[in-house]
Amino acid sequence: MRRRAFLQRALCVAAGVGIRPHGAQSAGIAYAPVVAGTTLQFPRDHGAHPQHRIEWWYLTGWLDRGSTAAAPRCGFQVTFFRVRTPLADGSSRFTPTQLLFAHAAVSDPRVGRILHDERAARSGFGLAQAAIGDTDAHIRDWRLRREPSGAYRATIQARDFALQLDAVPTQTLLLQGREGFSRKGPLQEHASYYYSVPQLRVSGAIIVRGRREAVGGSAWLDHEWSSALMPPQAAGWDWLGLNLDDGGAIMAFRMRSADAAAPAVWSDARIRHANGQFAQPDRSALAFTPERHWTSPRGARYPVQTRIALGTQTLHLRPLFDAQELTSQSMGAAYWEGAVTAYSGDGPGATRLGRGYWELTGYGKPQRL
Amino acid sequence: MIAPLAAQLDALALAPLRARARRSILAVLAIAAGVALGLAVNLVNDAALTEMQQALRTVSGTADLRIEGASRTIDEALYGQMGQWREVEAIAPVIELNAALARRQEPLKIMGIDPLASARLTPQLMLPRDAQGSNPLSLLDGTRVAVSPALQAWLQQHRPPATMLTLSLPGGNRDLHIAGVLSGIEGSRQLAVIDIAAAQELFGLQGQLTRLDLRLAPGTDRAALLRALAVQLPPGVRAVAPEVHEQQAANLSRAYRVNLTMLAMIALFSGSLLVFSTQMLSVAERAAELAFLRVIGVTARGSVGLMLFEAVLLGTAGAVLGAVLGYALAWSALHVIGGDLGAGYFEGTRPVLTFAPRATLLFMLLGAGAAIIGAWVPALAAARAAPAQALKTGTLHDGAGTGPPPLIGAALLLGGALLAFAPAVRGIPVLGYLSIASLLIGTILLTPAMVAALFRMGAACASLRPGTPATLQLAITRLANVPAQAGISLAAVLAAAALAVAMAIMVVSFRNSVENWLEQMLPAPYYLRQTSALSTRTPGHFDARVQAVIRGTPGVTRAEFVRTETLTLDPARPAVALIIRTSTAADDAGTRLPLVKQYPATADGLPRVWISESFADLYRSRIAPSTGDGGTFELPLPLNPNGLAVQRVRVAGVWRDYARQHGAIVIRGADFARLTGDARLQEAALWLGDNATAAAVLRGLKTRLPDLPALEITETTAVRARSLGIFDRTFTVTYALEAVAVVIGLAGMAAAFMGLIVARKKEFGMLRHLGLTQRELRRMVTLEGAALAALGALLGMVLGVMLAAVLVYVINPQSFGWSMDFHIPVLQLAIFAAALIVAATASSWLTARHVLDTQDLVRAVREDW
Repeated sequence: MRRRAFLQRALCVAAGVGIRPHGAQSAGIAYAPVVAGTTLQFPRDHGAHPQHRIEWWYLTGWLDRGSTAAAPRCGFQVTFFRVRTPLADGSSRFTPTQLLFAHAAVSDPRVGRILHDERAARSGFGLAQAAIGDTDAHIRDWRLRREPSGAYRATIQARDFALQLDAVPTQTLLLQGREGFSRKGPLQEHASYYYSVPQLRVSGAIIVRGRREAVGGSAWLDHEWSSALMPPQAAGWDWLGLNLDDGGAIMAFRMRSADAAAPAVWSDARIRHANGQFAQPDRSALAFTPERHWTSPRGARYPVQTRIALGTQTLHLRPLFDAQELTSQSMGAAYWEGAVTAYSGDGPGATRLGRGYWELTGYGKPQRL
Repeated sequence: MIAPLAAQLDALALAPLRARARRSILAVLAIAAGVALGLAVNLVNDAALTEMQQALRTVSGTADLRIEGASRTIDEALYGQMGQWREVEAIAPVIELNAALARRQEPLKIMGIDPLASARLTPQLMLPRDAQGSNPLSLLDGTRVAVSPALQAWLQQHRPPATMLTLSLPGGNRDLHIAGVLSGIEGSRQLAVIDIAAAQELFGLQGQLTRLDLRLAPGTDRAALLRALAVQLPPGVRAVAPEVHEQQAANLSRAYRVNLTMLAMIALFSGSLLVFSTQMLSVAERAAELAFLRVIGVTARGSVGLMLFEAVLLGTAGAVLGAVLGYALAWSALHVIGGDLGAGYFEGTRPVLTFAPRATLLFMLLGAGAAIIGAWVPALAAARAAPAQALKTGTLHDGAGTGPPPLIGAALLLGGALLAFAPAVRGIPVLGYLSIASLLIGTILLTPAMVAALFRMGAACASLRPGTPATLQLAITRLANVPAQAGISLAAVLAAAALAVAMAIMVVSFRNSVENWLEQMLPAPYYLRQTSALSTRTPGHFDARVQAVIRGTPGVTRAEFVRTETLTLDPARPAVALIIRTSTAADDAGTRLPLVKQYPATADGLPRVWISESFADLYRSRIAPSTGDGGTFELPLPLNPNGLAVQRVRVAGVWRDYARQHGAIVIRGADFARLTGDARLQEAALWLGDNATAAAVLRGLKTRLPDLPALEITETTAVRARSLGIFDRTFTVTYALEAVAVVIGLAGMAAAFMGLIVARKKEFGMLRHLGLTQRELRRMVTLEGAALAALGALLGMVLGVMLAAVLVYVINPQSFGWSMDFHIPVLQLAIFAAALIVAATASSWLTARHVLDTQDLVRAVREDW
């Protein structure tokens, strides 16, 4: 599942151009539905699905610069997001039928706060596009592309930093939900097509504050598309994508109810062990328990340190640092998107299980969709 | 120390000033008028320019570079191409046009933008997020519009409840929902922003853009990039730095501003002359007092200082008053006439007056300086006087009786005449103005000599003719023998009269020329056009079929067609107009233009064009000269819908154009159609049959051309009246300045005259002793005044004609690039001269009565003996 803050932004855009946020139909055009039992086909499904309302490619990971005290590990995020507006094609090539947003961030402990930048464009003129057939999304010189070798290449030239990363798969891709059909709520219609590529091996370079450094590391790629994702009663979501040190991978999410005291609207998790064996924890066994909150300068209170019970196993998430809130100018949304480490317990003797990204949306002011 | 010093000051400088308060007040007022006018002109112009620049920045934002069409729109494919350039950090496509609103005369500026791309370049055009859920992307669906606060206010007033904006488009009206207000756009700017796709579709501009706004990557060498772009951009597309547009706006009004400032400077000069006469008379009156100061130990230098100190007091008072008046004047001008002082350069803006410390200080210093310069000669005269003699006789014998050597005046006149032939300096006729100043000062310096010569002749005539009244003889003889005094009182009135005459001749010449020009440019009684929704594109085109239908409509006896395109030949200059004209008779467009030069036809087969005077002036270096004709140049002809075809053309003539200051080119419709394949034209000049009415013809046209619903017929007389109305409005300020100059001049003359009479009371006493009656004395003084005024008016006329020649033949062509026919409004000038003489005579008579009746002349003789 991709609980992207971008989703919320997308829905804002949708609202802006007249889409009702819930329901796959709108006055202008018919969006393609997400149907259970559909078999995803690759590489075709790596590419864009312009008939679906929303879609994203989301690459997150931890980068290693030798990992001394002087150059600690840092986190990064590169997301390309596509929105199909309800507008029919017009006679102008500028008719905004497809919009693209991109967001990039670096969490460097030496900086102490997240560095982020964004781009937005309507598709067209060779300046912004999400290609059909294989992953290749770009807005001008920002690009995320899947090479013929299967490696992902991200190129980002942001205001305060730059990324030039190659992420090579070391494992087969991981279909989420039921063979890639990922439910998001109690009703069947709230669902997406969703797969991940965990344990990507990263190499490349980053430039932070004018200093270029060669990096290695590991990353996680999500690709998800849908036309009706979020159940109306949901206020936001918490999501985790974790590369385990032993080669395994864990994805877990919950859709939170608008009523903070009420149980989650929906939650799900999927575990793949290093040997390729899957474990599907019972949904009733899933529990997200905040352990420590951080209040952002905007006033949003995020459970940056959370305990996630997955039935057989419990993850204790600790952020790389607290100040990993992103604010998006173009969409006016804010969310917490941070590099976290998962431990087996919360004491000093706990073992590290893995590293990943933890996303918290819908905190602070209630989201207006 | 302070109290005694103040007392000393009071005794030496202030008290005498108070005593001559009336004259001093006039001098102060004259200085104040000059300062006020100069300051006001500059304040108003600055305010207008600031507003204009803000307006430009509102629409171009923080772009480093713009890419735009030299003549019209650019191909949208350039957006994709330029967006790939490494040097381009951000790029935004823009459509900017003027659209017609339903039921509204003035067009509205519409910006079509991509909110996603423009967010970084023109944030002030982004719709803010608000509680109603509007956000920058609300415009994307193409049915919504964001409006500036001023437009919102207009809509609330005229289209309540202001939830819709109704565009008038060729296909009918179209409602757009108002999604929100662009609070970042300040001031009076009316503007609406829509999505760029909607702009293309609403206005039929698919595939086209007005421009691209570019932000360059840090460290990019913009100059180098501009050079690279100049080579790589397709023909007809140019890259410009946004400040070029601001510069153009400034240049546009610069000549106008300089002209008005110069007029204000001349008012200041009159003030200076008034200070001169005030101080000169003061020196005469206070000869005994000044001599006494000298005797008790004040040095010559000290007495100069004292006199100059008085001048500084006068100048400062004038400067302060002038500054206050200047701001008041500027404020009212901005509210009543507008930021362009009626010239029409800044339409649609409402400038705000701000405090300008530098300009204020400059004009105040100029005012004080004028007073000091005016006082310089009198101060020196006072210092030169021999104290003992002055103390005894109460007069100065410093040779002031004959005045300055006439040689200096003659040299200045000659120099002024020569300067008139000098070229402009950076587009401003500086040397032309210097010529005017030289002529003016030269004439004033020559005045005493002329007065002497003239009245000596008069005296000789009068003495030869028996029966000449004694009073007249006395008056003439007196004037003949103290020409310097006469010159002093004449100077101000002469300067004012000359300037008024010069301006009158110039304005009348201009107005006549404009009237003739309008007649030649708009020969037909009616004009037919389609009401245009746009200014960037011209949807009102008449193609060949429509042209034939118009010609064949009953009631139409003759129809000619015109179309205007804009072309950019030089990116640093505003676009020039390309006028495409048909003509039925002999098909020679040139014959119908107000030509100032015509060249014989050559057989080289090049298309012939007729260029306007300002074009000939501005683009002289581009025209390859050839003997016997106007030369050739390369003309980029606009192709439909965009692109250019460069064609060498031959200049067949030069015509006068008052409408397009940046240059215009006329080409025949047949030539244009042959070269571009585009036979469409825009406007039809119609001649109707005797029995046809415009309304009937319009009905016939609409029936025959159902696809052109927005046809409109204009009566030419209305257009002419409107044009002349604008012209008169432009010169309202000039008239006001003239009136002020004349009134100051007259007041100055009266003041000087009064001073002279007071100074001459011993002389009058003597004449009384010799048997002249009070009435005869009064007549004598009045005659003197009348003779002086007549001379002043005469000299003013002569000088005024000379100055007018400089204005018409030098200043105007150099400032604005247009010529005009010299036209002297004889009747008006005669009336003006008569009025001047009557006014001066009346004031002499009043002065004479006032002084002669209040002073004890008989006893005055006894004084100082």
